[in-house]
Amino acid sequence: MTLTVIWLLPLVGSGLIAFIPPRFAKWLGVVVALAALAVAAGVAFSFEPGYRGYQYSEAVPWIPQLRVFYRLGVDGISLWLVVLNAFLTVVAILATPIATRHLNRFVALMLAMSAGLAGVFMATDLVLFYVFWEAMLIPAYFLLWIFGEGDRPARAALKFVLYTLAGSLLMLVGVIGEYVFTGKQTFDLATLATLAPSPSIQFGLFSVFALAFAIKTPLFPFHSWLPDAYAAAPTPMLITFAGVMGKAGAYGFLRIAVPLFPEPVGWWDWRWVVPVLAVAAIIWGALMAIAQRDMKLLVAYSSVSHMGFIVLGIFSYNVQGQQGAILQMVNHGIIISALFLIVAWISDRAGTRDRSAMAGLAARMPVMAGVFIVVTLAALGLPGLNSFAGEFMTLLGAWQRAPALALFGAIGLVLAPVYMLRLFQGVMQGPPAGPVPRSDIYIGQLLLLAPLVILMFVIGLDPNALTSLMTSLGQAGLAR
Amino acid sequence: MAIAIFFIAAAMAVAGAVGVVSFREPIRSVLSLVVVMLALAILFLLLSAQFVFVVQIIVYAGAVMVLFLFVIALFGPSRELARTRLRFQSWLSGLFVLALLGLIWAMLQGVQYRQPDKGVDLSVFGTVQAIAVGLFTTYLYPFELTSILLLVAAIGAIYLSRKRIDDL
Amino acid sequence: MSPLLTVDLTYTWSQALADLSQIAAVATLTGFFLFAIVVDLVLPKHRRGGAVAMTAVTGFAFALATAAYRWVYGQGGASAYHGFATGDNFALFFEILFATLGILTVALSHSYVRKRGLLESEFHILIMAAVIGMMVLGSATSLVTVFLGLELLSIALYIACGFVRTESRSQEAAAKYLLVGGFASAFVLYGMALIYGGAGTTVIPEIAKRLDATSSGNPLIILGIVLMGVGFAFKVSAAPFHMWTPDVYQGAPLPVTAFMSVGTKAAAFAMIVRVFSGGLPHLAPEWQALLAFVAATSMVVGNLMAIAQTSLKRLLAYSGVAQAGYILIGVIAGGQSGLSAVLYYLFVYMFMNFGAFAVITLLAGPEGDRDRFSDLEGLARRNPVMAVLMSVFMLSLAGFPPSVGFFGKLFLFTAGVSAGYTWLVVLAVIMSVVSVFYYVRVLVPVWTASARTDRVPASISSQGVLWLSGVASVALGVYPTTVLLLGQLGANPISGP
Repeated sequence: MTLTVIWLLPLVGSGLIAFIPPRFAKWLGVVVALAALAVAAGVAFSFEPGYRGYQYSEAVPWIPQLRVFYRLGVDGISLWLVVLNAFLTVVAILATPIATRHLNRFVALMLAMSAGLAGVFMATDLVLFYVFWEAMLIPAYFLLWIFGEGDRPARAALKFVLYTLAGSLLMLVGVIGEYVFTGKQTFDLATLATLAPSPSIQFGLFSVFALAFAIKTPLFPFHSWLPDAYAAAPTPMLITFAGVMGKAGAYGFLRIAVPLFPEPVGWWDWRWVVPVLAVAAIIWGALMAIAQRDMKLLVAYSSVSHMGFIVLGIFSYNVQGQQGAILQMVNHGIIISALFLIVAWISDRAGTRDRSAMAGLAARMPVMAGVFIVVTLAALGLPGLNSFAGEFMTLLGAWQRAPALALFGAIGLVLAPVYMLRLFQGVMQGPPAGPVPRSDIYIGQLLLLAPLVILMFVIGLDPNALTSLMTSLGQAGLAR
Repeated sequence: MAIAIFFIAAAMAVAGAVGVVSFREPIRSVLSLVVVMLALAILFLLLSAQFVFVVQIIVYAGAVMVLFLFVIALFGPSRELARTRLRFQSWLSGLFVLALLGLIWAMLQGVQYRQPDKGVDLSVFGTVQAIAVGLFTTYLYPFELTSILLLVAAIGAIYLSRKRIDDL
Repeated sequence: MSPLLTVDLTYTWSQALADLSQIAAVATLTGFFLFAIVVDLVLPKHRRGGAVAMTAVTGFAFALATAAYRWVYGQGGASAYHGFATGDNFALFFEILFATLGILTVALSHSYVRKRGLLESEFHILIMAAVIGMMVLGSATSLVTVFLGLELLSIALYIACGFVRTESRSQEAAAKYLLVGGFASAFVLYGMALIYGGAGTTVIPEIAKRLDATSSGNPLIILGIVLMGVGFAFKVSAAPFHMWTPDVYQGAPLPVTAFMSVGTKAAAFAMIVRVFSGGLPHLAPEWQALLAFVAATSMVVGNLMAIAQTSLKRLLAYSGVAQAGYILIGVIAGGQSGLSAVLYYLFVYMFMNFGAFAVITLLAGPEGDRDRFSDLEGLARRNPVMAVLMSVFMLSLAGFPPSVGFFGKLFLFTAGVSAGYTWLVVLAVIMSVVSVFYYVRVLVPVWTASARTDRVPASISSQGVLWLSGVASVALGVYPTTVLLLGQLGANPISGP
């Protein structure tokens, strides 16, 4: 029952909030999100490390004719993602400006998207996973289209939906293929991880699953929907969109693609192709970020680069790499949310998103500059802040698999300071030029960022708090 | 002998059918249709369906076609407008028909008809009594359904042909 | 004169009752149909419409109850009237489906017919006749009865399509449907005659016994299958025999289009399953190949053509062509999983498709149907409930979970892959992505802020239809097991348990 509450509560809340007057929407939304966070945190506190199998599992027969069950469960991989999702939902709703038109619909859609994401992370039945995977596209589409910024949000929303759907509908064939070709006619992930069809069938099934996850993550070269979608998304939505939804793709790789298909060899060996693509994503994302003048797009491309690290860690097929990947998923969620918030606040005050049009804002916004440098350093991977441990572990894992992968991946570590520091220095330091900001950071906004920054330090100084729980795995097929 | 009659009747039927669609004056089309009906009746007779032969002539060629002729006569003589020129469709359809005929001919080479069941009395096939018995025992259900079908057709005909739409 | 024939002419009361109970739903509805005609004749003009509508609804409800009663308490299906009809679970499933569709249609058309100034009583009588034909088709076990049911349903619909006498588009739709439909019926009949020549009987279970796999060498049977397949494909509006669908759907009055889009499709599929899966099981490779070609073409043509449409009726017509392709996958897969998926999909398709048409119907004005995209503008402000429900229907047709459209496709595709038609399923999936584009495009004017504030009035019965369809589209998807189980029970007589 506990896990069902984590996704059902935001969904019910969403349904109610859509019909109440907008005045109460934000605060009721925060209450609902906090309640879900409390339950998720409770699950995390009583989680047992080192346990084999899923914890808090629920299994109810759903469609007996196809042996589909309503099966939920958490293990070391999904636990922190569930908590991250609940946490970022609270942050996102708090960050929603009260002046938003149709605030009740906005908050309702945000909660619905959060419910869908929670379901994705907790589902341990392939059909249930798929249902949540696709269902969360509906609120995302409406959020992007109706509340999007920029001149053509409808087009960006449609591109996002169609691109993602192309992958996920092909994944449906893979889901059905798993049921048909593994001989046992089941959709249960734990069971499927122990059965493996022939390598050529694995190749085909891996291809369709990997395509869907690669589009969602996004992994180079399937990332072209991201700049348009991120540019159009309103900032509160971006927090969950960039912070959590991308992780769903990486989670899919880790939960499904790696364990269910240990030997996907056909025209080529996927186990080598995907890490190479991940390295390409790291370098490409960093290069594109360097070339951006729009601050929001710069952060978006840096996200592509960081997701490359995560995928590289997953496909290193060893403990360090995969635990590092999960850690990095949490870290990236926190950092990217903070970055997008700060960039949005700066561009709000300066009136433009173009970083080359402003300079020396630190003089007028010292507190904002202070927080900004902390977040920038976290994004760079400074030791002591959270991203270092994650990036280190993923590169270590990649090195153990193939040193060349780690070497090329480390190029991303070198390129990150280029675009991040250039962004910070260009905007904040130097003689003041360009538009003058109205004010410094508000107290409310500072308080909103505080938990994120605190977490950056806490996780950076004690990553073991998270990784210790990652030893409990629900299914076979993953490196222990 | 039977084969000769078959071919004559078949030729009449095909010629009549072609005439129905190609004549420009409606009255000539209807008369061609009468020829088709008569040809079909002859074909029925060749297959020993005596009752259907008579009914075809009386009901179809006699009643239905006469009604058609009445309607045409009421509307007065008229001539269809010059039709639009079909460019390539006639050639295409000709090719298609040839292909279809070739296919049918090839397939008919290996046809196996099912032999009649043992113990069935074929001398009463097609007689009035056989049809009457069948219509009220074995084929009772389709018979009643056909009556509903005719009822619906009648309702539809009345609805579609009314002059004053808001009355009745 | 001594009789030429010695035939057993006994027909006892018990036999008569047993036969009648097999076709109880059909008989009940026919009784109410005849009663409705009498009501129409007897009552004064201003009371006719409502009374006939009530009779129609009562008749459908009684037929529904009769079929449901026989499902739960009946002894199972037996052949009635010398093998020409049956009341087995397959027939009962479709009788329940068609009766529900009839109730929905009467509820929706009540206000529409009044708004446009059409004659209400004839309308409902024609709908009843069409439903009778559909039920006959569902319960038919002989080629003769199949054909008669087909013709009854078709003729009633030809007239209903041309119901708006003053609108040339409607008359054109009726004429087109009549010509093409007659052509298709001729194909079906020709094929049936050839099959009869090869098998010696028109009773479908007998045909299944007499034709075994060696009959695939008999050109009569092959040609018969091809001709019947072509005729069936016309009726189910599958490409490349779908040409009539957009024009007829666009021209016919909206409730008729809504009724046709679900009813003819379901009835035609019942026909295909009965004749092909039930009557020619050993010749499966032949008709499966034909249907696979038709299914692939339908999915491609239907989805691609729908993208370019500016009329909602035509868009839904092409979407129907594509949906027919998806359902054909289940027919091809066969077996209990395939046929239960087909039955599930037909049942839920009724709710989502009829719901979508219902929303468009409510936009109509006295001068005609309004089915441009621009007529949906600002619906979120004009009638928020309708906007939400339209979104549900479009997303369900597109196949988003947790709606019924998704689960229907899941069941169909699973059956398809299990039967070895993975290529067809991959094609279906790719085309589904294409379909999302035009389904979602319908929602763009609905939710975009607009200055329009004219209300969209909806009568109680129409609102009921919308709510029922909307709730069913989601509820039967969140918990699809019950309907799937009913589909399995319905498929048992054909596919075996």
